Amino acid sequence: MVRQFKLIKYFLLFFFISTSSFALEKWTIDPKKSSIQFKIDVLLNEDVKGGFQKFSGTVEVDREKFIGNTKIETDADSIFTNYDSNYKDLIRGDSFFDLKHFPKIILVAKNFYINTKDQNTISHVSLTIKGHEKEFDIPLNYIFLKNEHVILNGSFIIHRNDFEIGSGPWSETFILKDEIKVLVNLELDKN
Amino acid sequence: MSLKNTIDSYGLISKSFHWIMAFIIIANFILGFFLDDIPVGPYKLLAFGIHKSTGILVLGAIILRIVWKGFNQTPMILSSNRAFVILAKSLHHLFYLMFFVIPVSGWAYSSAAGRAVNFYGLFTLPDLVEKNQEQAKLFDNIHVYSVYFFLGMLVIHIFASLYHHFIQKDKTLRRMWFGNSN
Ligand code: HEM
Ligand code: HEM
Repeated sequence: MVRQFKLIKYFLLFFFISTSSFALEKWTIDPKKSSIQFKIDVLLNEDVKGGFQKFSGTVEVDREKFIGNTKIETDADSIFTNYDSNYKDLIRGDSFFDLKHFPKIILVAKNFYINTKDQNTISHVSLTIKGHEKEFDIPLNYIFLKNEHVILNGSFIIHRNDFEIGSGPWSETFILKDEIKVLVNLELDKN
Repeated sequence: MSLKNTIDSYGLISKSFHWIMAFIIIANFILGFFLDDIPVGPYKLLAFGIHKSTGILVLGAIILRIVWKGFNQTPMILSSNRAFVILAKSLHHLFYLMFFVIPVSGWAYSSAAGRAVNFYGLFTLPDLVEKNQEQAKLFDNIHVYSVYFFLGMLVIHIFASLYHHFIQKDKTLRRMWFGNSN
């Protein structure tokens, strides 16, 4: 598997170098084949597991210069969790996502670079939830299929208290943990 | 004190099962009773997690206890009244049945209401039934009525053992306790 990834990377590198002028390519997320999932640990109870059903976005990238911009907008209202039967309204209310005031979750990727140590592609992103913006790096895995379709995935950890996801009594992190593990799987088509 | 029961006394394993389980069951009953009053928040999540996990623990323990009972003789009920003997035996057997009905109905209620049951945060149990609001109501009722029925049984059980101890002055209570029963 690792060998295959390496091969793909070398192939891509060769591809980048051999193609003279790349300019900006535009890729659009296929929401039907993509998913955004998350998980939060709960002390002595079932972990919160869920995701978002509605999101859209484009990736614009110059593969030669490794610059570009990405914007993914997620409809916060499309959230679903395994706790919905009890807490659906609470999750949508002001102590968690406050959908009335903050209907969108926005992820913007500003630039990309290759980590020289492990040759991983890193994307520097800014994430805005409930009006709070945080910047961090996400290691990305991607596979190009026929050069018209790309499968891209990345996982990262955010802290719910950084975004006020759970205010008042919910801000304590002994029972409902602070860490949110996010897994993003995107399939994009070249425009 | 022997590990196994004899014809007139309980062994260490049966006594431990009886008292440890009695303590856990009563604690879980009290926790269950106050579940609804805990304000919505993380402590409610924790309380539900502990209540359900402990109930599942009781279900596991009752299976082991019945297996152990199968390998043992049961001390004779100390009464010359045949009706009392039958009543005492029936009540004891009914206790074993209740500790299937109570946890299984709680588990089925959770499954039908669309909430997974987890064992102390270690693993998720499979759903017993599919999500269905009507069934959820039914299992909720079974759970709640059976725990109150059990409470009635427990009151009779405790009075009976105190009656043996203080009125009949026999060794019924002593032979279930850990000291020397003679
Ligand atoms: C030793 C075993 C158990 C005992 C003694 C017990 C006892 C109780 C009691 C006293 C209540 C409160 C009833 C009321 O509303 O007045 C309750 C509620 C509840 N129990 Fe249990 N329970 C046990 C096992 C379980 C298990 C194994 C589960 C699930 C896996 C469970 C799930 C629940 C739930 C969800 C409620 C809330 C019901 C509601 O709000 O209507 N219980 N239990
Ligand atoms: C949740 C609480 C309790 C449960 C479920 C329970 C259940 C049982 C069961 C099933 C037996 C029969 C054991 C067998 O022969 O297989 C038994 C015996 C006994 N229990 Fe309990 N019990 C509980 C609490 C208590 C309490 C609080 C007392 C005392 C105040 C007590 C006193 C006794 C005595 C003395 C016996 C022996 C009866 C005999 O020798 O014939 N139990 N109990």
